[in-house]
Amino acid sequence: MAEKNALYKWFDERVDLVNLEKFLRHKTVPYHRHSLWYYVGGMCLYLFIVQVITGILLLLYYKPTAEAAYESVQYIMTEVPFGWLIRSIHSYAANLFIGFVFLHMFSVFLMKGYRKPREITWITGALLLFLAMGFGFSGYLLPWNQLAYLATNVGTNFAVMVPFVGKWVLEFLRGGTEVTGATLTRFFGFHVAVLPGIATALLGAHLLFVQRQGMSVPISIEKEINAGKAKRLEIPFFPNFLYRDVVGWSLAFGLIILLSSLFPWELGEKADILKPAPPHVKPEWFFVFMYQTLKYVPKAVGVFGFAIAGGIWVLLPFFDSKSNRGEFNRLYTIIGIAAVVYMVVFTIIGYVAPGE
Amino acid sequence: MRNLTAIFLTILFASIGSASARESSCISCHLSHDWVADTTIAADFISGDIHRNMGLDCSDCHGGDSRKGFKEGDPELAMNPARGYKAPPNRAGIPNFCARCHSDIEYMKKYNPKLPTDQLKLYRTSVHGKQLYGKNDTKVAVCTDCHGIHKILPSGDSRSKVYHNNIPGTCKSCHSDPGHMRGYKYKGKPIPTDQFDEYSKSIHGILVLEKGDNAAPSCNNCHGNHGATPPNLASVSAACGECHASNRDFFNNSPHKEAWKEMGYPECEQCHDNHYIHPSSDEMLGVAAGSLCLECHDDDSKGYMAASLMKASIDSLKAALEISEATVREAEVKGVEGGQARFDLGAAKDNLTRVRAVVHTFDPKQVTEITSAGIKTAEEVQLTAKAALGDIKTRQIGLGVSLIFILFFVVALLRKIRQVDKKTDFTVGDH
Amino acid sequence: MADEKIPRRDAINYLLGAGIGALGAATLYPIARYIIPPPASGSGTSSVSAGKVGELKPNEGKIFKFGNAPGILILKPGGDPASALSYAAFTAVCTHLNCTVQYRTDIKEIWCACHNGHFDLNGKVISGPPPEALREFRVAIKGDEIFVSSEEA
Repeated sequence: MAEKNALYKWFDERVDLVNLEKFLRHKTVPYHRHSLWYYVGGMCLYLFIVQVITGILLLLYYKPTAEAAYESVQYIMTEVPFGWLIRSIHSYAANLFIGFVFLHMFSVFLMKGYRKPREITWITGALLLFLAMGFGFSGYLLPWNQLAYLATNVGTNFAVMVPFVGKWVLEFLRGGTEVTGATLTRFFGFHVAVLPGIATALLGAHLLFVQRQGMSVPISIEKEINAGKAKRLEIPFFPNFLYRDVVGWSLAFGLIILLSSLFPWELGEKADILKPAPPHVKPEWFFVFMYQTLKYVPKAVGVFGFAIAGGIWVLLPFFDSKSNRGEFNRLYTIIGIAAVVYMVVFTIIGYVAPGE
Repeated sequence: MRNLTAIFLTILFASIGSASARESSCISCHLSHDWVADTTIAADFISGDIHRNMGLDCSDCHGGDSRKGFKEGDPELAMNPARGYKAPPNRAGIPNFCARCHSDIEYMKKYNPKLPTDQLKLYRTSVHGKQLYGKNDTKVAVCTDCHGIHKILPSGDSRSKVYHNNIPGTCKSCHSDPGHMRGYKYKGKPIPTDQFDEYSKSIHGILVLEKGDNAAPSCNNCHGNHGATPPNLASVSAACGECHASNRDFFNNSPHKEAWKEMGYPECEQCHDNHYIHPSSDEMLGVAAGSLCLECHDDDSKGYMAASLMKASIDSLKAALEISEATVREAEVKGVEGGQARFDLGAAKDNLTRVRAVVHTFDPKQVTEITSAGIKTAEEVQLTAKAALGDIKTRQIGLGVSLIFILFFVVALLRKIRQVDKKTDFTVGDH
Repeated sequence: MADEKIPRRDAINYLLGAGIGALGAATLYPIARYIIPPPASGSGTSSVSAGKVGELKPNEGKIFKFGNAPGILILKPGGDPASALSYAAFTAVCTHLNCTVQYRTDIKEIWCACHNGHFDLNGKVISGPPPEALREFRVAIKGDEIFVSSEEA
């Protein structure tokens, strides 16, 4: 390489850049007609980093007390230059993040990417999805506005369903028996310290496994290659794949700033504990399918159903022996599509169902 | 045994009361059922009576010798006419009985230099006093009816019947009793008994009786206390003006002052009523149905026009405030307004409050001056809030520039991708 | 062939470099502006700067913004402008019907124009309809800035 200068040499002598370069040059990503889904994971990572950066920026002015939280967000939105932008990016990117995490999960599910030997990658990923929802739930309360206050009231209430220790879990989440300033402080702690800590560890593991094992190739493609119907193609990660990643990230960023500038994230009304709850209080969109389901089934059944379904979902690779043997498992594909359809339909019902 | 209890009680109470220095024969006997059937008089007296607390004893009012009699077992020694003992006064005698001390300036100074000594004089001018002394009517209130007999508490004590917030209830005990009030007339008509009910519905009554606000007026603030009389026309507004000073001043300088005097109208009361003072509303003004102006001013008269103009100007201020506030609220909820607009809107709201007082000038010029100033502020605030809501202009420019940058970058990157792809062989194992 | 390719590659690299530069600037500029604290003194604070020493002469008052509500700062008659003890600060919201009160230099009282309510320089009602005293703020001087705090005086 001609452009190897003194600085490169200085680092190379210490951290072996040549080897790193070699590694990057040799890292490849499978290239086939389903390759597009490989970018979804990178998008999640990118959005996570956006959240970290904007989150840290918000921390500069945010105050996690019931007395000052709303005002501090108002201050960020109105007084701090570009505060409206930072907060709106944080809010929009959060939603986009959760959307992409879901997309990532279902695409991996339908391509059976969880099959042996990638079970641990799947489990860490599934846990990261739950964490993402935890981020969303805890972050939603932080501006301390009326809607968030009520949604948190409803949301934390499900904790009492936990057998034996329900009351304790509820009080642990709320920092008391009711949603108060103590809850806000707690959620703040979860949102900026506890969850990021766990997420970073899980994300590290997730990426490490992806790195060690490379991307999974869908069974159908594998079969085609094995049957000689297609050639095995791979695209170098650096720079070809990464450049494509960056294109996606840039477009996502463009979308986020477009939304943030034209429709800055609302502030709402300050939470007033004494105000009666208005009808049609809804949780954030990614909880709506569960919320809507709980209207049709007994609460306890629903909550346990979701807990069990979630648990099974996490442990799925261990049940799908067919895919693990490299055979196409139609049943699982049907289950996956049914799950997506169920979630989409119930989310839509949640938004259009009248008078509830 | 009973005796022992009595002695014990006496000592106990004596050591509690501030008059503990003096032992009192009267109280010792009057607390003992061995001597009297009813021990409440003495028990009352030693449980907080202001006179007792000031160091006075039974004999200071009733005469006799309070140091003798109990030990000796002979009440006559205490209630000794030779030592000035007199039987308690009858109802008619009570005012003079109390006045022996309370009208004595020098005597009262020793206890409370601030306390007036004109109560009896005032009482004589009151309807109560005139009935008592002029017509020998002992149904009227005398000192003890309001102040109590042996457990007289200072008026500042919230347990006292003459405590500010308790006065309506005290007056009510006679004035709302149709049996008691039967036969009494004022200006030829029977005196009504609904004053308390009316008052308790009024803004003042709600404040005093429900909210415990002792700054709002009670019966005596308008009627006087010891000299209680129905206030005459001019003194009604004088009473109101004690608190509602600016309204009084506006009214006194208004054309209504003279006109109403000629017609014999009471001032404030004419519109606001007396015991049942309604919470005022803007609908009292103007020319719509229910307006009070129409009671005197005919269609198309000068007053009619003025009322119409004033009402219209207040209404337009209210409308401007409402629109402005809605915009500010929207801006706040959207998170583009951080409080300056609401702060500025406060000034416009001041104008509404002020004009509701200034309307008592009944001068459209003064009224519209304030309303137009308020409308101007409200409109300015609304414009700022609107601008904040649409402040997207600078944002749009920044957004546009950023999007162009992104697009530019993406296009460059796509070309770069094409370039590097060209050099790359995707078949496995070939690079 | 090779001779043609090299300039094209350079052009794309320049384009890409420019794109990165522009995008970087467009990202860093808002962040830099965001990080620099704005002049207004924080949000929801219990203390604000109500003015500068020397801004008020003895027997003068001014209205300042405390949160979303007005406050009133008064330099008492004969007071030393450099001493916090010479100042009195209250919420400027009349306890009667929420009008903004003002300082009357002629009578040396706080006065509400709406219904002629008068308050003394301790915030107590002297006359008129206000039912309660004005809430008092604590005043402190730091440098030449007069700070007013809603904590108990």
